[in-house]
Amino acid sequence: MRDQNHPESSRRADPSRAKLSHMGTLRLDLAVARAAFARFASYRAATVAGVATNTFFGVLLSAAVVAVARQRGEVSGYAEQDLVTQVWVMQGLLVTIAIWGWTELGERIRSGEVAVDLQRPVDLQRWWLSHDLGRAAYHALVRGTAPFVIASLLFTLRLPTDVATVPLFVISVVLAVVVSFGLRYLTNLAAFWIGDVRGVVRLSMAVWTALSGATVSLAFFPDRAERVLRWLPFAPMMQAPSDVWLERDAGMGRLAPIGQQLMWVVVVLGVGRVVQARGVRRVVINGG
Amino acid sequence: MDDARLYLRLVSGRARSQLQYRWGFVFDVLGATLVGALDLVAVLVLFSNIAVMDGWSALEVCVLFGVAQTAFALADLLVGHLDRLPVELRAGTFDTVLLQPRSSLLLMIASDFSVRRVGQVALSLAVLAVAWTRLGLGVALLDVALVTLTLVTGTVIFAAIWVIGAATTFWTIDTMELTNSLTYGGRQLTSYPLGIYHAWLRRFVVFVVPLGCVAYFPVRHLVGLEPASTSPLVRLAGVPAAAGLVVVAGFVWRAAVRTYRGTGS
Amino acid sequence: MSALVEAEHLAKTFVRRQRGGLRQGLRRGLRPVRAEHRAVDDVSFEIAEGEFVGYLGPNGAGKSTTIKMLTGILVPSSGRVQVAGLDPSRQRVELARRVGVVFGQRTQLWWDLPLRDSYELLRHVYRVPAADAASQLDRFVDLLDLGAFLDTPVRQLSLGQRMRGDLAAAFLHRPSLVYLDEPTIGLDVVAKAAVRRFLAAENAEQGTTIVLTSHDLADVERLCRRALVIDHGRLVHDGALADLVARLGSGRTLVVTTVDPVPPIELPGTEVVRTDGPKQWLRFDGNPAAVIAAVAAAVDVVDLTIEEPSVEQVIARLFAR
Repeated sequence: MRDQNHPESSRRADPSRAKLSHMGTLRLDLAVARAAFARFASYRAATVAGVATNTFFGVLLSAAVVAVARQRGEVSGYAEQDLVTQVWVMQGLLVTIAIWGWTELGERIRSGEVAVDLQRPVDLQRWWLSHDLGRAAYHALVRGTAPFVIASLLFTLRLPTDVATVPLFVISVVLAVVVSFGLRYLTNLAAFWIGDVRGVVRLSMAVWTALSGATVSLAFFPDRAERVLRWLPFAPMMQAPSDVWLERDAGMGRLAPIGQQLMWVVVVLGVGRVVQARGVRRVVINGG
Repeated sequence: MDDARLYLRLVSGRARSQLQYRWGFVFDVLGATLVGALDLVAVLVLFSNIAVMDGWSALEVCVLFGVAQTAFALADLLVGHLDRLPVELRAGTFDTVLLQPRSSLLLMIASDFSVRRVGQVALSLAVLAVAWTRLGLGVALLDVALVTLTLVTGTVIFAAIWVIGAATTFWTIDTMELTNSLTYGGRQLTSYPLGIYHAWLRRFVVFVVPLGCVAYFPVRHLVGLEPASTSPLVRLAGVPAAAGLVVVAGFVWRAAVRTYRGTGS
Repeated sequence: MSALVEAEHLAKTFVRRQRGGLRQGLRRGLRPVRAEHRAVDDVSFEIAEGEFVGYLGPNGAGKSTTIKMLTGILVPSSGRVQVAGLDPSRQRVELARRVGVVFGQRTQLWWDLPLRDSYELLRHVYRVPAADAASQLDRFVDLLDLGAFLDTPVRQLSLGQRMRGDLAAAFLHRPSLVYLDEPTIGLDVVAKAAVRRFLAAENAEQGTTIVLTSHDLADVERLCRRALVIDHGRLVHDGALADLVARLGSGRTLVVTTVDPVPPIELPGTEVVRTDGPKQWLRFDGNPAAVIAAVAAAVDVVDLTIEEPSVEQVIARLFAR
């Protein structure tokens, strides 16, 4: 949670501007993402500590889930093994989608450093999205998979039975990261108006964690609440990818959660653009 | 005594400075309280599927939850800011603490006091009170004394683990998250009956890192779930656990500061 | 006079674990890569009660490591230190009551509280009796002109005001020894003068022993009678500052701007170190008035300024010998 705000490393993520004009935009995206990947790969002790934390929480949540499932046999069509597997998929997703405390953009807006970012011949939102995808790639590969692997020694976890599930899952995870990025980006943009976003970020992350299925799978919620929650932008971050992994739907129905994710990607990124434009105009008018 | 007075003075200074940012403060209190409330929602959602968990009803678990969360919130209020120690070590501000003629641990603990966490304390106490009343547990003097003692020892257990975890960052700067897994994880762990966990985990949290002694044993007795064969002394498991942890915490902190002074920043 | 600070063959060696790539990291698990760095190397000196000593050296020379050992923050690798009859590393807390420290870059004041509240809190940290603290504060309000901002939150103070506030904080408990690390850094001329006046007065009137670290040679020249110079962890000069300057020359530079560009000015006791169109830089060690008169007689002068050398330049010349 705390390893995302090292000022000394944020500079490293900034490839030299002189080269920009010679580079294609896509290549720039890749360069930004690679820099972010390297940045997070350098916190080795934090990685080990993080994996241990996710594993510990996974064990605790599994116990609670098992306690319920043992009595009921199944919950909303999820068997005990499904629910435990879901806990561990989500422990990997938590850090991958960075549901916790990203305030870097907000701090840059507050300190005025965002003016430097805005001078770059590249869109601010696109820049940070590339950065976030690079970060997510590292977290998915190392911190995302490690708890699941460790847990498979302690529990019998469910693995996909269909080969197609693997690419679908990867797509779903990428979309989950983008939705989460879009929401985090929006909360950080609030800094244009209120200055310090830490309180807003703390508040929103608490709500997202609870309503995305991260602390308790949406399966446990009363049916009507579950149906509503599945239509909010939080389920696409946690519940949707784990459902894809569990092969909840059959045939073309398997594309449904991904379709829902896509819809929210369009919405959060679009709203982000509008809000960003207004915020930037504010800075230009007020002179920061 | 003198140290306690100094602590109160320093902490009230911190509290005063936080109240200066009125809106940020209100927002922070609401946020911190909401975080606690959402934990309660998680418990209630799980219980919407079942009537009892490991023999405990929803209201009984709410008593457990109330006690454990109050202890956690109090510890967070007192020492939660030790999370920032790695930052202070990097910035060199810890040296300022060592230049003053007082215990470095006392000064670090007194260096902040997040008033916003008061909201979480209040919420947890409210959960405890409501569940307690609805179970019709009454206010027998001995029971109230046991709850109070449990809140104190629970707070001390959480706080000591926080101190030990923070002290280890003198050796390994980037591992504060590991400490968080014991503190925040401890809150999750102690809010449910210990019986739902694997035997090895139960043993670990009773005998190694005594998080299991925060609330489970006394509350089990208070809600009438203690097996008849159990010795009454088990209810007081938190006392030796808290005392032992305080000794360990003091020792680890001193060793950590000694290492820091040996190597410097 | 008795020695307040005694350091004998003081040394501090840091062991750094090398930070390498992932592969090195894996290998490190088996065999740690270690590098030793001698930050302070066999340093001995004494400071008598009531002295005002400059402790000088380039960045990374070992200045702050020495100060940390003298205050007990760091334990020496070898050698012996005694301050006010105490062993700093064993009796850190007792010693801290008799020592004051100002770090120019940091503050020990409470950021969001009025300045006055910081003194009240520090009074309790240092166990200063209320009456004593009040009389000290009265004195500081006069000497440092704190009155105007005593009730202002520290975060709203200017750098100069904050530094004055920090100085008062360091002297509040009547320390017998005060370490000052760059107390004038970033201050304007007026604020610098106020800080120097205060330090000179505390040293002369209260007999407080002061050890000053500064990059500003003027600070050291105006305040310190004695200078310790450290470089690469070793003590390379210990004596009167005047001796150091006499040994090396003041090393001032006269910047001469003439009406038209002229060939390099040749005068005894001066040396042209740089020219740029009508501007020339003359290094000299002697009396400035005599040099200025000689220059004015030799060429048509439009403008003259004197540049003071920095501590670094003086020390660099010390090693050039």
